[in-house]
Amino acid sequence: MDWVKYIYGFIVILILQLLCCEFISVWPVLYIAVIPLIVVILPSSVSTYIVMLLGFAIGLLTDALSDGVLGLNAASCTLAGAFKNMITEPMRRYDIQSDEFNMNSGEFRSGKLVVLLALCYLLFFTAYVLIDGAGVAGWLYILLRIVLNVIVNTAIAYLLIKLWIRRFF
Amino acid sequence: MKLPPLIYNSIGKFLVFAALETVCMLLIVNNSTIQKGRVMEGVRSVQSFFWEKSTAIKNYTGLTGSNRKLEEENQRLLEQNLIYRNFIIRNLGQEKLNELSVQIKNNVGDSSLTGFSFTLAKVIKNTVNTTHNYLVLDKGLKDGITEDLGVVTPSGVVGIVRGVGKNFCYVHSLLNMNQTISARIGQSQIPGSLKWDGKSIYRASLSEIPINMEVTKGDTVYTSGSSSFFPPDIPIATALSYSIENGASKKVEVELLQDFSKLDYVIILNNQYKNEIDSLSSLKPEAAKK
Repeated sequence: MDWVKYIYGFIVILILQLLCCEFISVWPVLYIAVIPLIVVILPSSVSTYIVMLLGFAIGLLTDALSDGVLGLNAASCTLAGAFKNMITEPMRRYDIQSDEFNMNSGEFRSGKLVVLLALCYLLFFTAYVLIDGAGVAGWLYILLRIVLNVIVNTAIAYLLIKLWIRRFF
Repeated sequence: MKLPPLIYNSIGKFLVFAALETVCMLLIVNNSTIQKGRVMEGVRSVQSFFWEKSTAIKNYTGLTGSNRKLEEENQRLLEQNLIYRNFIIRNLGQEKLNELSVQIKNNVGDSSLTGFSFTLAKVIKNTVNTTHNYLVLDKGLKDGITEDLGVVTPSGVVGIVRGVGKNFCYVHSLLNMNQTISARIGQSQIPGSLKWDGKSIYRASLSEIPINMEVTKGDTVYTSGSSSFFPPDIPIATALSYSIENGASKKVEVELLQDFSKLDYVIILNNQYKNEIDSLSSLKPEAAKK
C-alpha cells in the first residue's frame, strides 16, 4: 500500500470538501460530502482503528477549516470508518479470489461500489443529520434528508471514483 | 478466564470509537447552542431519572423512621380518642339513664321506687336460645353492684344479678327456668310465681293464683314488691289465658312485655334497704318463736 499516494489523495479530497462547503450551496438540506471517500478508498487490509482515526482527523480538519459545527463531520466520519470494514468484509469473502477489497481490485465492480458507497454514506448522514437536527426537526424531515443526501452524495462519489480516484490510485 | 483475541479486538475498537465520538460530542456541545441545549436536555432527563430513583430509595430506607413517628402519632391519637370516647359515653350514659329512669317512674310511680337507686348498664352478652339464659352487663363491683339486685327496663323485668366481677356482672334472665319472680295480676294484691317454661321467649306462666280470682285476657302482670329485688308495680306481662292447676289454683299463660332479643341498655335497681329487709326476714322465724 502506497501511503504517500493516499496522503495526496486525502489532501485533495479535503480541499475539495472545503471548496464544496465554501462555494456550493444548492439547498440548505443538501450537504455535499466528499470526505467519506477517504474512508471508502482505504483498502480493507487497513485496520479499523486506523480508518476510524483517519476519519476522525479529516472530519475534524474539515470542521475546523470550514464554517460548520466543530465535531459534526468528525463524528459522522468516525462512525462511517468504524463500520467500513464490516461492510467490505462480506463483499471480500464473496469474491474469494482477492485478499482485500480496494479500488484496484479486479472484482470491485460498479454494483459493489455503489452498495459500499451507499452504506458508508448512510452511516455518515445518519450521524450528521441526527446531530445537526438535534431534536429541532421532525422524524420525517430527518429521514427524507438522510435519503436525499445519501442518494445525491453516492452519485457524486461514484462519479468521482470512476473519473478520478480509480485512475489516480 | 482468557477472552479470545477477536473479543479483545472488538472491545478495543468499540472503546476507540466511543472515545472518538465522545470527543466529537464534546466539541459539538461546546460549539453549538442548539446541540448543547439538546444534549443538556438529555443529560437532565437522565439526571431526573436517577434523582427520582435515588429519592424513592431514600424514602424507602427512611420508612423505619417515618413508621416510628406514625406509631407515636397513632398512639397519641388513640389515647386522645379514648379520652373523648369515655367523655361521650359518660354523657350519653347519663342521658340514657335519665331517659330510662323517667320512663320507669312514669310506669311505676315515684312512691314505689322509694329506696331504689338506678344504675344504667350496657348489655355485653345476652342469650335467649337456651333454657338457662343469662346476660352479662358492663357494671361490676367498682360500680357498686352486688349480687341479688333486680334488673329492669321500662318494658319490664329482665332478671336478677347472680354474680359480680370487678367490671361486669352476671344476670339470670327471666328466660331462665331456675328463675322465679314474685308477681301479681290486675288489681289483685295476691302474689303468684312468674316462671318461664322454656317454650317461647315471648311467653311465661304465672302460677299459684287463687282459683277464685278472676283473670281476664289482657290483664297486666306486675311485680308484687314482696321481694327486695324489685319495687312493686313494674309491669312484666299481659295475661293470655289460664288453666286450673291441681284443682286448687290458676296458672295464667302470659305474654312478656320485654322483648329479650332486643336488649341493649338495662337498669340495675339497687335497693338501699335490701340488707335491712333481708336481715329482718331472717330474724322473722326466731322472732315468731319468741
